[in-house]
Amino acid sequence: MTNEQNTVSRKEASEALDSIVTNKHRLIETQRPPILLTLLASISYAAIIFGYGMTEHENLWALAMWLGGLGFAISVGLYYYTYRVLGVKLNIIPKSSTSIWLNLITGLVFAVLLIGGRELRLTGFEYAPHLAALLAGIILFTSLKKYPTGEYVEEKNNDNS
Amino acid sequence: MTTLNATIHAPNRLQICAILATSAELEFKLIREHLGVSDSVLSKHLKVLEESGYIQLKKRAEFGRSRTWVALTLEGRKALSSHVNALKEIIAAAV
Repeated sequence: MTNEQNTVSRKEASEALDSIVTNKHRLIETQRPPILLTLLASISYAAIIFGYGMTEHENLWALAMWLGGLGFAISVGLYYYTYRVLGVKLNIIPKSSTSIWLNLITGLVFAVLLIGGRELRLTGFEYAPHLAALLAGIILFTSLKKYPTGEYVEEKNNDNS
Repeated sequence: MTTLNATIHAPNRLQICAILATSAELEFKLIREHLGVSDSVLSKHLKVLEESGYIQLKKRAEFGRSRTWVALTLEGRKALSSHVNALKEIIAAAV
């Protein structure tokens, strides 16, 4: 397309780039599982973090952790199934390097919250698991809302000049 | 300098590649509804992309009916990424 490249103006190139981002956003905004499912997954995940942080010699919080795990597994299964019915098959492992980094960093943050919440409580900060669970729930909910397919999607550019 | 990809640059094919990059596979029907084109028009575009090795078509029987799934290949992802870079270069060069 070397000859044609000379005929593609800045405006056309900009419109083509905008169309790529707009179409990605339109797809992930219109084809997505119910928000309640995302909320259920986030609450279940927060319950795991909270339960782990509060567990003492297999007390009732351990049960909360296992129930959270069960709820999380069910909601993730439903999440994949709903997408499949909608006509979208999700990547188990993201494909783009930005998405891989984003998922790795998110996973690291969750690990820090899981371990940090418990360790801080054991050193005397009583509300550490509460805070860790709240943060984990908010981060997971925001991530699933912003990148529901697990792939990074660029922000829309409103500057069309 | 990265060159534009003529196969991908066509508006409908650019949209197809863009939405395929968001997931592992998309169903034919979903792509058709997203683009607002007929079955035959979409089939033609998919054939061009398939012949270039940018996408893969798979037919599977699911939920009691046959569904056609479309996936962007590794080569397709690289071609799209390279095309996006070429577009960005054009914009940057014009500034």
